[in-house]
Amino acid sequence: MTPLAWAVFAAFLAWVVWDGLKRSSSSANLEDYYAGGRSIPWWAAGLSVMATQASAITVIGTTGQGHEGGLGFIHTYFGLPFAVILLCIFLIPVYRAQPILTAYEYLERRFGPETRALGSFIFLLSRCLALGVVINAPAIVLSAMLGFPLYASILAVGGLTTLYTVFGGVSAVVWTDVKQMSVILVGLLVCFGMLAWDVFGELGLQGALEAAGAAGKLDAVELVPAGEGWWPAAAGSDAPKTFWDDKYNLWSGLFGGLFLMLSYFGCDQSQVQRILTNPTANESRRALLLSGFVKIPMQLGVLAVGVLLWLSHAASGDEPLLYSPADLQRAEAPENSAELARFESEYRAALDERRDALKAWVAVDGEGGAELARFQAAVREAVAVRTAAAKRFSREFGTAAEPAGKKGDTNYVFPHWLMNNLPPLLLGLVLAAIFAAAMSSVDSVLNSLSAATVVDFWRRFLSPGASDREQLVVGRVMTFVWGIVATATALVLVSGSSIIEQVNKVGSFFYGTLLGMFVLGIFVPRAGRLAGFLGTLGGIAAVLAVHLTLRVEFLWYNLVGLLGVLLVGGIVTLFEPRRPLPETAPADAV
Amino acid sequence: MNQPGSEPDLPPRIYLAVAVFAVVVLVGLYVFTSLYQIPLPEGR
Repeated sequence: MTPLAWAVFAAFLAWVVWDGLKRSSSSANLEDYYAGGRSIPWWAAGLSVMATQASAITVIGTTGQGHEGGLGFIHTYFGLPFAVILLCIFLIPVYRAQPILTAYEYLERRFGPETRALGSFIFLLSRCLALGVVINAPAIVLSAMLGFPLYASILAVGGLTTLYTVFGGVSAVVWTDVKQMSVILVGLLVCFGMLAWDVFGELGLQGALEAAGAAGKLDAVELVPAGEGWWPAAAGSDAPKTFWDDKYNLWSGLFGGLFLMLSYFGCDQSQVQRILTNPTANESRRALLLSGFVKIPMQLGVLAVGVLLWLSHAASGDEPLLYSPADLQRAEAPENSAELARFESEYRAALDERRDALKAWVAVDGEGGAELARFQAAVREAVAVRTAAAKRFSREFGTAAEPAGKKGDTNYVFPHWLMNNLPPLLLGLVLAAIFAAAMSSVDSVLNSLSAATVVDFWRRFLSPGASDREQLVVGRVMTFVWGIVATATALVLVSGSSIIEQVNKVGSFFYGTLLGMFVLGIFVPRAGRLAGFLGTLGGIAAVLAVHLTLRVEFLWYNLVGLLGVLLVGGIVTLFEPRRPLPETAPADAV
Repeated sequence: MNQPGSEPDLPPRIYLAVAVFAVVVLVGLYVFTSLYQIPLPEGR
């Protein structure tokens, strides 16, 4: 990187930290610190919601997925617009009826303190470990690209974000997110424009679309699931794919994605907190609906950057065999040199053939059967060689026992292009955008973890009579503590500990259960204290049972958790005598 | 801080607009990409 690129990059980081820190004086109590004094406008909260979801993994990983697999990943977001509509109608009135600070306060009003504590604990467990990955994954890629140690990247993202979040609270989170989201959008638009100029100049718009279509990069809406059969296969079996483990099709996207987005936007404190910062319920609704309008087109744009990058590689016939510098260095070791040379030679031939076949296919305007067959065979051959090389040499991502192979190497595709194609000013800006994406996800989660810990546990059970000043100090201390935990988790992940990855995976299984708790509370008025608590345990048990026994794609776990809560909670409701709930804790009864 | 009933809910046409927009994007995406999609044959 040139000094100019470093200067742009450093200036952006300094601006964000300063912007966050200057809001430290705006908090006089927890209402200010966690809810921004309920004065944040809807558009800022809406952009913050989007910035939280657009992590650096999104920017790096999704462009890489577009490069390798085309537009298929967009299926995940099909349920989002419908989810935010349902949340606006059914959940926002519940949240905004009382001046709550965490989503889980509602669970106490509805089911009692133990269910609130359980809901909040589930959130803390699933989020704190996931946060380590949010910091760690982009840090691995950035440190490889920038050439400085991994721990330095982790400390930069974790440390700087913790600094401004501790002092500025949710106001700093929202207003820095607005700037970070703007930089992310500008950065992606610049990359899209540069790649489109390059590819359309070489192949023409029509040629580019025909080439992408023939290479399987435009499978954006799969109406027919690829799986056979409607009963899920047993976990670990070699049985053919069924409907339930086909990852990307319209139905898993619309329905599986719907429940994922209902859980994420409606029950995850890291998102709910932003819709509690607006002055009115309608402003909260508008903040959520912004994602309903913008998210799918935006994700399509991100994936399209990856597809354009693939077309650029295909048209030039120039593409690395391995993108990860660390993996490449490993492959270049003397004991591997003969094997690497063989892979390189096969790949060179495959890329030349792919380039020539692409030109021939475009030259006949997508009409020649022989040209099509040649091009598709060349695409498959290049993928096969790269997959084999990545399987042999890639050790980045995944676990020591089970490396992610080409899937892990995919994360380096976009940064590799950035480093080799952008002029210094733009390179600094886009790398800042990737850092911004990491920070905008981390800051929201830090603030929400602190809110859940302080409001749902410390203030509720340990110190209900604390003064505003005491509460604010504890809020800041807890944000700092969670910042340390998140950064330390990211540093531990450096060693490739499979235990933490497994715990992180298990943590994310609980989303559907959280959704089920709220659905039971809102739609089953008779459900009482025992139904809420046992229903929650039933949801967790259902997801774990399905995970251990059946081969079901992750998106459906949310539906399983929801149904588990409703089934167990519904049965308990039939037998539970109706008793009034105990009084809400004084500190919470605002 | 708003209390229940202190303001009318958003008009239903806003929700309808989001839903219609989503459907139009989905259908548009399906129709547009179908024009260029050619399945890759199985195998190497």
